[in-house]
Amino acid sequence: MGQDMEPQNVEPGPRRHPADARDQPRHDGWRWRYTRSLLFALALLAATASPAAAHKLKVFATAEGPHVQGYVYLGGGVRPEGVPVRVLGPDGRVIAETTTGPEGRFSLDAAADGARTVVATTEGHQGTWTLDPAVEPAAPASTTGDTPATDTAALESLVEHAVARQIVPLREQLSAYEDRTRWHDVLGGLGWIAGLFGLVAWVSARRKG
Amino acid sequence: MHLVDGLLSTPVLAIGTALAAGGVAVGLKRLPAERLPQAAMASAVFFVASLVHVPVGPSSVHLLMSGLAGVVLGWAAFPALLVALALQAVFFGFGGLTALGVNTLLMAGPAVLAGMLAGPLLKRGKPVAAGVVAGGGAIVLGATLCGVLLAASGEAFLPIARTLVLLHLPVAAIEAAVTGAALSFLLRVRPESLPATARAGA
Repeated sequence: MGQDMEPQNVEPGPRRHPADARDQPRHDGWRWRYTRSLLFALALLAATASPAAAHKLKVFATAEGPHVQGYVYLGGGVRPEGVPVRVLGPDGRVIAETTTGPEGRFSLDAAADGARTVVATTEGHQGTWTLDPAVEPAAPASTTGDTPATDTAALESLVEHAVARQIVPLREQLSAYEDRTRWHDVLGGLGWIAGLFGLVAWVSARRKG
Repeated sequence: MHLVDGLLSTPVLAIGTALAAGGVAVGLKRLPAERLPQAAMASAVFFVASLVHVPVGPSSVHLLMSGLAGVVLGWAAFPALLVALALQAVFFGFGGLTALGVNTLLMAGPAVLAGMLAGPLLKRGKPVAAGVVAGGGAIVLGATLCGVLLAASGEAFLPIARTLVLLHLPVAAIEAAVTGAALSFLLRVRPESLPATARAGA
């Protein structure tokens, strides 16, 4: 009674021949190979790419008394020409405006009592820079006929201007450095996305179960 | 195209944020748990894509990959891109936080529209054409919408719209190619991850 009983109402057992396992996901199947080469290409691309400066419009400016000068730049170092630049007073009103020339540079006179803000706007991007009177030197003091050594105030003013000029490259570097997009920011953002996805998936699984 | 704070007038900001909130609500309803992995992937791709700069003449623009999100997620692109935009604002300083709603509308709206236009092409088994429509279309529509928003806030429409669209044409071309490649890959290897083909039962 046992030998002619065929297991027709029983599901087929596990496949014994690897050649028959066409429908099962195998790690050497063509899908996996395709995916793997794509992942490899992406990893290569990611290794060569580096998060450069953030894609924002930025302004760097210095001032000596009423004279304001500086330049406008985008992430990646591009310096656009023809960008409108305005200098606002402490009350927010426009004192003076101009447009950037070659190398994104601008230079204008905008006197005010207090902190001034330089604003550059173009195509939906805007960059600002605040000129703090405590940091920027005042207008160069006019030299008298005497030798500078005997005129302490004039000497102080000269030193102040010399130091301000010397540290301009340092301030430029600092400003550009502040906005660099760093790998840990990228990874942090990706981590949040993964975490949020996990949280939502868990909540929705609990609701179902 | 990430708008910063202070560029748009308050009425435009309010309307844009309300529309985006509506889009996110619709998107959340149409985001079943099975599509959560795709949503997370599209969000991550969008998040990282803005780091890829494309120099254009004296300026430079960045990739978005919102077209791909629109095809893969449909309306669910709204919540996915909202998350990515919020993280970009916090981690990279792209775009202002008060402009988050408007930026979501700006990125996800054209993505959904382009996805709807590309759906039929995908159903007919033409992933590259679908990618061109979705990738390129999302960028061009987005640039135009950005011009509309800025014009509604006081700028002259034609010059700014023309500038934005022209500036983003190289990005549109690159995105058309990349989205086409991505869709043809997905269609071959994982067709069930694409809603159009899933509905067609392919």
